[in-house]
Amino acid sequence: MNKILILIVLLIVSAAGIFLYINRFQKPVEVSQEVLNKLNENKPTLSQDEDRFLNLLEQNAVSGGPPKDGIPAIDKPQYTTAAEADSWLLPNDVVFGIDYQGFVAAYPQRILVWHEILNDQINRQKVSISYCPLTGTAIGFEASVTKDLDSSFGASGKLVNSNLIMYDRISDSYWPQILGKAINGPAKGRNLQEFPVVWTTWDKWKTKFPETKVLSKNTGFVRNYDVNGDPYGSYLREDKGYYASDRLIFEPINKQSFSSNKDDRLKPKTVVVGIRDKDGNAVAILKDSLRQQKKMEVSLGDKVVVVDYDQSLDFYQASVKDTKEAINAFDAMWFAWVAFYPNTKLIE
Amino acid sequence: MLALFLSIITQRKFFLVALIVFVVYILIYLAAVGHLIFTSRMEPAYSFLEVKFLTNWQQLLLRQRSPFLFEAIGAIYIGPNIKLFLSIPNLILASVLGFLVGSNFALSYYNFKRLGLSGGKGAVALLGTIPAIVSGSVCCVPTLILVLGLQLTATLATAWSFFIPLSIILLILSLVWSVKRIETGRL
Repeated sequence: MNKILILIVLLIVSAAGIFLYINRFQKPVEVSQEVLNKLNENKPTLSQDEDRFLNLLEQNAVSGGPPKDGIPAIDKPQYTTAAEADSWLLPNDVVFGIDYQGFVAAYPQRILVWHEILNDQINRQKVSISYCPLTGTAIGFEASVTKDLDSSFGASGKLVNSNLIMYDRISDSYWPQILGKAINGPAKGRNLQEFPVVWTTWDKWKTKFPETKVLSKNTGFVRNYDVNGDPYGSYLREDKGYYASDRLIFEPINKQSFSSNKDDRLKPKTVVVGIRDKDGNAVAILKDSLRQQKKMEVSLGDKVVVVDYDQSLDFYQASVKDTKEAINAFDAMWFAWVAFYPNTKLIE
Repeated sequence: MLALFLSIITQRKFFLVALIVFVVYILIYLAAVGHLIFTSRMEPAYSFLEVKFLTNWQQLLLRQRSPFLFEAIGAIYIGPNIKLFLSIPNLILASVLGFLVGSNFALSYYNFKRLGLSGGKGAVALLGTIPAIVSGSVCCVPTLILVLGLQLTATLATAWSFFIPLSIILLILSLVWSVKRIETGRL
């Protein structure tokens, strides 16, 4: 019996040893004094409500399973030509396209689903392309935490409202992707500048941009980038995966309103076009309605936003009507949008 | 105890049982963690067997993707439809688990044979395989969660990271228990 006890103790000790060894990879970011000083300048002032909401989000950040950087960001992206990509991309494969300062590139969903974040530098501007499979959101960020503080981002391993929480590698603050705002850490309350990421298909993108670059499968990691490799299911066909089912893996913070059917305006994963401003005003347009109406005008706070549907890409552009200033709009699953913006308007 | 175990496991019949279970378990484990993939590759394969390693393999060798799931540093492509990702720590883990599950099955089979099919006792001998199956299925927890559509809570996520060491302990205990039973049976 003693032998068994010794064996168990040995096993527990070795298991603990393995854990400690593994956890050395999860050291928090060491924040330099210089970074702290810069972040302390012009700190954003948060209203009491906003502060409370950011704290609520932080408190509801849950582990998605993998540890910090367990879902590895792509830090050294390589690109190929459209012709090369044709050898492995199907015409109806989902790609996320950008046309940023003249740099045109497509990021296949089949690759980004395994990485969620891609860091790159375009014309001296650090950028991060992010994709969260559980909320169906793809957003481009200029990776400057402040005007003179560039960073890159990684996956924190945490989720809130099923949405990817990114962390910046200079201050270790948490940034839920949909919010585009830090919910804790030295950067709390700051926003990232966004740029549009077009959610479309490979054939549509390359028809519009034949000279496009395409993210290569040589990401520096071994993953199953094949057509049936997405662990959550497929956008291409009806299947039993996550995208097609009404079930959520993680509960959103407003779960009560869903479970008691107070917010049953749409099925949880219905795709809406989400638009919001820095004051917290938000509006969601049912994407199918936009497809039918082609052009819609919606009010956002005291502004009117025009959303133009582009059939050639099955996507849209949004701008403020008076100033013509572009405003970022992106696809999102309804449950996630309404969890981040409980006061959102919904246009069906 | 070890001598008894070795004397059983080295017998051809029981060795074969252990070996078959070992191989099958490793294949199931690798498939469940997504390291053994049956797929249709889009690109033409240059040869029937291709082996590729990442140039940055040293940085990834011990990097973990989730508890007890490590980064692959290369891949073997067999024909157009089979891919095997190579993660050294996971191959070691799979082998340890496979060895324990295989040995458990072999010993249960030994017990079963020895006791014959005489009613209840034969069935009791097979009980020894239950911990092997239950804890051996640890490989598939993440898959199960998605398939069953469970809500993943923090508690479950934490618990699941302990399943591998827990199953190793359970499998060893079950093995020790089986050998002890055989010993007592012989006296």
